[in-house]
Amino acid sequence: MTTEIVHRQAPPEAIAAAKRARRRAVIGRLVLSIIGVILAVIAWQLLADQQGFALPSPIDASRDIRENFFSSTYLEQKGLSDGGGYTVHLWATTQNVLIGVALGSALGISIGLLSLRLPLLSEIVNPLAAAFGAAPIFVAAPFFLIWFGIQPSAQILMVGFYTALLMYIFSRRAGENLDAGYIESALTLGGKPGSIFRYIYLPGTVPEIAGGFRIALAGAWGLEAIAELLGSQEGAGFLIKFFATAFVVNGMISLVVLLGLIAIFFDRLVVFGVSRLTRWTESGRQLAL
Amino acid sequence: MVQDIVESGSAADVTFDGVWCVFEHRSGRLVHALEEVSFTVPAGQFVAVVGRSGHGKSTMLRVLAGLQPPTTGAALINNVEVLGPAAERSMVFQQDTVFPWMHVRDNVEFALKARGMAKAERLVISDRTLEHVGLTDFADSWPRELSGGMRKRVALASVMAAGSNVWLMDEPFGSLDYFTRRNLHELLLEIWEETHKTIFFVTHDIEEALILADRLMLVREGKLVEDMAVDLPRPRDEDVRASPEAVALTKAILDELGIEDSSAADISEAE
Repeated sequence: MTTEIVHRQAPPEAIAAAKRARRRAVIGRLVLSIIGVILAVIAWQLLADQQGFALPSPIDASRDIRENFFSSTYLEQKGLSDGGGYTVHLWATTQNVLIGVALGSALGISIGLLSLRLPLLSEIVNPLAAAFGAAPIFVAAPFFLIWFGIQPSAQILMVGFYTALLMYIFSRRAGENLDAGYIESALTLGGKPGSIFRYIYLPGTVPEIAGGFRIALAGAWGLEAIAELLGSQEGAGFLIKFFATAFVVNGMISLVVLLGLIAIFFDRLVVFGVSRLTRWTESGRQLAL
Repeated sequence: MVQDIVESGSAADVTFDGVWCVFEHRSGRLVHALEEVSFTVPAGQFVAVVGRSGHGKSTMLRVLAGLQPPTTGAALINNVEVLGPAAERSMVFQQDTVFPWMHVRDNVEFALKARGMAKAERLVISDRTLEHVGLTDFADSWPRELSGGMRKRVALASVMAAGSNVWLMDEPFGSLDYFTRRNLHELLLEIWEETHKTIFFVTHDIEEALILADRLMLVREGKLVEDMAVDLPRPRDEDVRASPEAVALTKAILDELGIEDSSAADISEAE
């Protein structure tokens, strides 16, 4: 004879304790992030206090940002802006990164996933990806400048090329890592190549592709800045190079900090998007918290 | 009625005509996964394929599913040769193959979507299938939110909704605890008794085979060594399974599968 188990609602104090525990976990993570930022600022201040170390303090940098962010007399005097401040150059950098990453991702992911269905495509692309993947992208940078000049298109193409390469590798790997059991199960349920690609490959590879996308985006900011340092007429990298030659260290550090903040902002946006797309995974659920 | 749920067809005759599956190992050694296996299973029969791990049970199912072409010979469904996977022969795998990125309902509707069925029609079928496997309240859940047993119910519901004529089940409940397994046995038998689909159920658990099947195929080292009827009355509760007939059947199975030679078989497998 089986004893029947009757479930009761948990007492209010247990429900409140469970809610408190979850809240504490979320707040705990936030507090740790804030502590991390504070420690970084303290370390920065300590370094800036060192004699002979050409590093402006956080206060100097924040003052510089305040004075030059939206409009800058200094930049105007030097002919580096038509009344706008750092925002003009930061926007140029941001635009190039976003366009480059978008184009590169579309190309890389498409070829990566298609190559899983078309073995001939992978035979052609794999050696190219291996060759270009082995050569540091910075080696290719001068070629882009020679071919496309110091136009934004050169930087966009460079970022796009790097992103496409990375996303091709990640997409292929994501497809190859997808459990064959899912494909076989789909086949025995009547799945055809088209439906398996749409309903199995595409969603099943999202977590790994998304991880690659975050890496590509994070790298794209640095790559764009370097491309601008090498040859450009606008952008944060271009401005940093100008400040370096004029020894305007306040401006240099301000731009580095601002570029970092923009990169963090877009990374958070991506994390938010990824958490929506990968709610079905445990990590996606945690990201969404 | 479950019969209303399934989309098409009923059961199907299954024939294996001299099927060989031979693989060449990297060392050059030839492995006979299946060795001239022949049988005919009439529509609606519940067949349990019993044998030790690595002796060809799953290969048999994969040949039937169209996932593994035979080296020679042929598998036939209603006298039509199996040339590749198709929804008429759906498979429930040992590992968890419920698509984790789809809600429970979308999993159940996959086969219907794949054949381009309209949403309203899909909804009717998935609603009734989910109700039958007791997952109505979990239609909008993610698979990760379900227990292992519930995920197996989703897998069963997907096969039901697909309207397959032959159900291929490769140790589907092997990873579950005893109680969950027993519940799923009851559910599977209930569905089978209503639909009378042809079911091939691979297991190495003799008790499970005796609870479910009305025919046993014993596979050893790639050969079909015994093909026997299970004439025990249903439902096969503890009393039936403890009956002299059931005990004699169990002993016959153990003898045929060469349990006393198990250590030798393990060594040959490892080689």
